[in-house]
Amino acid sequence: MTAAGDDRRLACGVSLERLVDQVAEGAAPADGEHQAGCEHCQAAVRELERLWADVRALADHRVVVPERVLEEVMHRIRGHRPSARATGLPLETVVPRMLRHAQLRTTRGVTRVADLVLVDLARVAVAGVPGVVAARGRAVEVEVEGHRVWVRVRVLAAYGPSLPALAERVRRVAAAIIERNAGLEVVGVDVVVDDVIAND
Amino acid sequence: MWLTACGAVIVIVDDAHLVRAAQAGDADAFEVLVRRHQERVFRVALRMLGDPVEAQDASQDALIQAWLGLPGFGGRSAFSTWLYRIVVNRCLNLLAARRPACELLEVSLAAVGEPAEEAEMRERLAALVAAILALPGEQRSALVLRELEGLSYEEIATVLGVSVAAVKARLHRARAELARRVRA
Repeated sequence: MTAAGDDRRLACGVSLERLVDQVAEGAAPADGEHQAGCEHCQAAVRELERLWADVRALADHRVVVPERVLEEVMHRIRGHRPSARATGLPLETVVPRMLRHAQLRTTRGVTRVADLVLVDLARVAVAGVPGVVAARGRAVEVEVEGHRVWVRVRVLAAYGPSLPALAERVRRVAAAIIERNAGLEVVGVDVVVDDVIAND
Repeated sequence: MWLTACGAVIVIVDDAHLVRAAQAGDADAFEVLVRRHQERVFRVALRMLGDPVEAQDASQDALIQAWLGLPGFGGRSAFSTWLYRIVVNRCLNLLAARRPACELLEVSLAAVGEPAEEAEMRERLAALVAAILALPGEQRSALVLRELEGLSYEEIATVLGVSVAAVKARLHRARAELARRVRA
């Protein structure tokens, strides 16, 4: 194994690298007279031509794009308008920032609240509900349309209390915080209890 | 525009028109662009990353990034060149974030055609793919764009954001390294 950058030479002194470029580019030999009479060069060129035939075969090899690509892309972009500031940023930062805003129209202008803000409000509030052990990962999702908001909360519940009662408390708290702090109308709160954990 | 046998009208709209519509927020226009270009995006990602699942994710992310970044596309280069730039950068970032141990990837090429000669051919291509995947990212991107995608030096320079001289240098090193690995 030779180190990268090591200019390997053939027995006749010609650099292998030069022959590689000649074959890859389909160019005329830089030193035609020598090559025409040199068996080392000719053998190396033949070998490289075989390799480059493989490269071309690989280039012609049909690649089948998984159908999911188009589906997934279109699913994710609908509803996110292009933005001049989006390029260059990691997607993880861009997509949440492209989320939608709830709108409150007043007689003196419009108040827009990013749905991320609503997510944060609800998550903090729900985490404080007795019986909720944790509001997991992406625990809260919201969907906004104008001033109307749908909320979906996923929680881990403490073992013991009635789950429907717990869900109702979560529902009340999540709706209250968004209605009070953001002035929006909460049309529904779906609660998902992901797991129940025994408290010692 | 063509009239087909059953009377349907097919209108072929060029990329530039679709790009303008997509820039104005027309997701359907973008869908046509995705259908047109997804194969090259996926192919480059697959050759750069070696793993179909990773290539699928990278392709999806690149296409979404393209949609989000459309207003920044001024149309100075072809849409395809711009798309190459996004997907190649995405792959280079992924490669940079990869731990060295992940470099050993399982290489597979689907069998097509005659099984007899194809088996040997497939083995040679698998060795070639492995050699390409062993190249450093910078060299790999230059080689993939030139030898597999057939881009010109100028186009590669635009995609990689470097000079034509730098492209030639990378390509030279990549080819030499490839020849060495396959001969070894």
